Amino acid sequence: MNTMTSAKTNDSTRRWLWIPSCILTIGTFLFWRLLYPHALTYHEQFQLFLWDDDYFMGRMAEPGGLARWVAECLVQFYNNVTVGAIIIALLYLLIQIFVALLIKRNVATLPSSCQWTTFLVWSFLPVLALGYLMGDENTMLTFPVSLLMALVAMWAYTYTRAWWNQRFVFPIIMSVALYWIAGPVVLMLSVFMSIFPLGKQWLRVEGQKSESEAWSVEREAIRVKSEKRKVKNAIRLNRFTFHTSRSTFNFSPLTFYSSRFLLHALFCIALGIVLILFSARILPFTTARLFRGIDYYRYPLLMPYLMMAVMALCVFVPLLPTALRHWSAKASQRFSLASATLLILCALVLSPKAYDTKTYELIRYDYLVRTQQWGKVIEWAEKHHPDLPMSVCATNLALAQTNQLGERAFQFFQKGSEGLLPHFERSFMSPLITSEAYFHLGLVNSAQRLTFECMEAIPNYNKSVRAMKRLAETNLINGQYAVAQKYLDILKKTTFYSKWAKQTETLIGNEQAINNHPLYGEKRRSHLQEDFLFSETELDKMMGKLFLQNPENSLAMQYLMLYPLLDKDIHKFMQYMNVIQQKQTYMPTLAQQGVAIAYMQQRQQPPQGLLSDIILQQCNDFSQTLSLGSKDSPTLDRFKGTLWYYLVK
Amino acid sequence: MKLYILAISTILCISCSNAPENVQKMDDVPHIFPDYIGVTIPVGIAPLNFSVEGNDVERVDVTVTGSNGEPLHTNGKTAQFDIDDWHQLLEQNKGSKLNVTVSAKENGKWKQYKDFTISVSSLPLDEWGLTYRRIAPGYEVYSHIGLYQRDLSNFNEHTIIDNTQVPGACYNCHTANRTNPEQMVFHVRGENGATVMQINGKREILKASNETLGGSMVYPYWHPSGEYCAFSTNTTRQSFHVVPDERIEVFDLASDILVYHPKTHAILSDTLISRPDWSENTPVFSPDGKTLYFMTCKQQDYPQHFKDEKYNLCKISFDPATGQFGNHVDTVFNAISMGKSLTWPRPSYDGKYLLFTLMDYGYFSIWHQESEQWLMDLSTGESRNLSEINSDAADSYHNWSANSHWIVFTSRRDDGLYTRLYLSSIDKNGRFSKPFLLPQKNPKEYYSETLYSFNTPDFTSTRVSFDSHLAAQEILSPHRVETKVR
Repeated sequence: MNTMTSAKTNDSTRRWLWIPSCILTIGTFLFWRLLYPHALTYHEQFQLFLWDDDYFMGRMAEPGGLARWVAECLVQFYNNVTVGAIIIALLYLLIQIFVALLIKRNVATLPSSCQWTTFLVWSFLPVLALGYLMGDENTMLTFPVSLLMALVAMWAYTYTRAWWNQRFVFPIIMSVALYWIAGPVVLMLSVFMSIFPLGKQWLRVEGQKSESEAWSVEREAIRVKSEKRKVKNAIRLNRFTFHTSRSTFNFSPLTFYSSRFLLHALFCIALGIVLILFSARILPFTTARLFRGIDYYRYPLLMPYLMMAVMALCVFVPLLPTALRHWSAKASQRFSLASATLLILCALVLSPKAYDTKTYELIRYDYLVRTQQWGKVIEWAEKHHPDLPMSVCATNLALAQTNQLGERAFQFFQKGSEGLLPHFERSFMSPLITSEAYFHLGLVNSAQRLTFECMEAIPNYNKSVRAMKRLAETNLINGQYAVAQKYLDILKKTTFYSKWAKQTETLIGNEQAINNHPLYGEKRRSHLQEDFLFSETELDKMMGKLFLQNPENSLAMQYLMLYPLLDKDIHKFMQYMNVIQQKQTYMPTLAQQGVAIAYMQQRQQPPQGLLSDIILQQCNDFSQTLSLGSKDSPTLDRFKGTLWYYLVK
Repeated sequence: MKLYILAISTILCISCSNAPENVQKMDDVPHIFPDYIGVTIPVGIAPLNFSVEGNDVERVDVTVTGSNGEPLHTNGKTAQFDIDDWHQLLEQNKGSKLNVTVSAKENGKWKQYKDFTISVSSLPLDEWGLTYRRIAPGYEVYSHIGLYQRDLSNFNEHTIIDNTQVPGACYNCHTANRTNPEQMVFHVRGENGATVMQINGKREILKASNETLGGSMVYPYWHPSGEYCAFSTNTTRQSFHVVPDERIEVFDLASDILVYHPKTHAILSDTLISRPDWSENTPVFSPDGKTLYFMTCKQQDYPQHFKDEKYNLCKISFDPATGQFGNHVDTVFNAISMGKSLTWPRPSYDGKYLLFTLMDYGYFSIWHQESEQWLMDLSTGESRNLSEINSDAADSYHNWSANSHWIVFTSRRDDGLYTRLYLSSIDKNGRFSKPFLLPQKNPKEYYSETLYSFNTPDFTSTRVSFDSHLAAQEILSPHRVETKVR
């Protein structure tokens, strides 16, 4: 009766087993889809996955190549953030399932009182650690894909039966195969193969299995080819038999079985290490990089410790039940419950720390600028107060695109003209937004340069699909049709950019169509005619040339007006305003504030009607308030968002 | 029953055959990539596989016939020939012409184009292959860079060293002595900067920069004896154009030339080749080793007057026995008087000619579309534009084969940006044959997909023996051999 009740309870428990997995999957999906969709497109833009046999063979020529190819294939679908979130969620689910299956396989070797479901909660630990690791934007999807491949190999290993297979054939074949398709996660398999049979044997030796089974092992061991070894083993077997006849036998590494299994363990671990060392001799990669994985992390010289921890967890968590085999079922259940609570708490407390706010803020700005969601850029800036050159650049660009730069620039953090066009730094990320600003301004060559630089700066030597698209555009605008065609031909081999490439291809060589194109035609009209060399210290002059070349270039006009104001150079500002006024009637609030302060500095009255009465009144108020207190006086705070406040602070 | 099966199989085979049928004869030669029509090739070169241009081309059928030997036939999406059969045909037709018949299936219909010829030169190449660097044609940042060697008899490429082995490193100017890789040198830039010199299998990692010189050693060229290697030392800067047709401008704030003596690690210099207001650059030894050619330019105020950076070709005598320079410098070619600038002088190893590049200004010719190769006859001093091999795009970075019958050079003629390698032969009258693009197994696919340029190519008489694994470890180590200025 009791057995029946227990069976029923087990059945009902098993029916609910899928619920935590579902929560994990749905939670992961919602996390990426709702909170970090921009992080998905961030990954997608820094690779160029091609449906091409050369691309595939190129990847397959390196250890871990298949995992990298599969990961890149999946990452291209991040272009659709919903699909991207589903992919990550499913990957996490599969990893959790395989860890659970390994626990189940291990528990099968334990006494019948143990239930594998008791340890199920631990199967979530590796995937939660992985979730934390994936918060690092430089962790590549190749790592979880490789991890999954290693788990599958480990799981397959638990089904090997014959001793020769378990000891030699499987380890050699699987290690070589796994190393080549998934990279250094082969070390996980090595460790697992070295420990898993040891654990099984341990239990046997402890006498928890029948004596006859122990003897069958003994008989197996006798089948040794060498006569000398036969004699030696017989002596050792006798010793071993003596020990196994006692139920309180303690495992000792000096016994026949331990030495045999230790040898096997060493063989398995050595196999993994030797494979990597050997490949370093014949492949053009450093040994350290091969140990770190060619594409597990975007920076080839780095590997987060957590990545190693995740690998270790995937190996040791399934073996946990062996360590806890002496515990009663009740104690195990309590332990599991406590573990579950602890895991949930850890996940809740630690998760936010894994996702660096500043980094993801920049990634969000980049995403919004790339997709030209100018309103959302401003909305986000209003809430989160950008203060880094990249985010300030994005905010200023969005303000200019919506014709608000002259009205609202000082409502946001500003620190010099570098907030308009940050100086170049050798990074694959920060010049991207600057290149967008150059492109929209009409400095096509500079946009092209920064785009190319970003692509070349990608640390893992990937190419960028986003950069490739922009380079096709800049070359098309510049009339470099053969180069544009080359990039378009490459993009035609992608999934999500193929249609665009085919459409854009029709413009090649068609001067009229390009000139009439709403975007490319406009950029052509902004082309500078006079050749000079780009200078980061003379960007204001370049804005001036752009404006004079095409007075309809509103962005150049706004940047030209704001540039000297950001550098607090009122004299230059007045010169530039004169240039602007000759071509356009542009006098936004900040320009009026600048003119007012310029006249005030010269103790003159501005011409009648040039400035609004409100501005004049505000300027007088500011002047009086400043004269009554110091520049740090809190009474000046009501002038926040004005040029005057920016000038004195 | 068997007969029926055989008959049906035969009918099926015939109906599925891709052999040209109902062929329409055309009056013009096919538009093929690479343009191998009328080129001259050496015996032993890899097959000149090609494809017929056009989106509608479904299949090509090509027959290559020589006056001797069995014709070669290929039928497929592109023309790809069997390597052994190709070599055999070339060997049998050395000094004569091959006739190429091309038919293409376009929109389901076969067209047979006018035949064209390929000349098989009687001049031997006598080289195993080529060495070159592959790098993306970028600006300041570089990613994947490597030095590679290519077997010219087939399509195999081997890595000499790759910057996946020394992360962040930039390699450049791989130079062998008269194509003999037993004496070779290349530079490593970046955090682990060095000059790597390998002489007869012994490798030395020289300190990248000499403090007395105030810079690193650049643009090497071996003395024919192998006792010396000439370098320049440059303070190089680059800027970027804003107009659509131009990209990059490279100029030197300062540069001098020097000669390095590997045995003693001594740097030999002279006031005549390191004048303070002049930039001396790209030194090369004459084949007899008694003259050092170099280019020189009056320094300008850069970047403002970058268009005034113009170089002439000069020479100074050199005594290999003592390592002493002569007491005067002669101008060999006055490019400035033509309103031009000269760069990349390369004397032929037989002492007859000197190949160089002329451009409007500057010396970094790959970024100047107007760059053209010129040839000076050293016996008469006369020079001429090599219009037979030049193109509208940048043509430069030439080097001679050891027997001085062939040259390899880089050209951007195909798309204006990505440099590719072209080979050409020179006849006894000093005329070059139509250059041909370095063959690839599937050239259309290879060249359209690659995002790398080939540069600083040179011939190599044998396969370069270089343990890149050990060399990378040495480069990554802090140990460097010091050089000293004598």
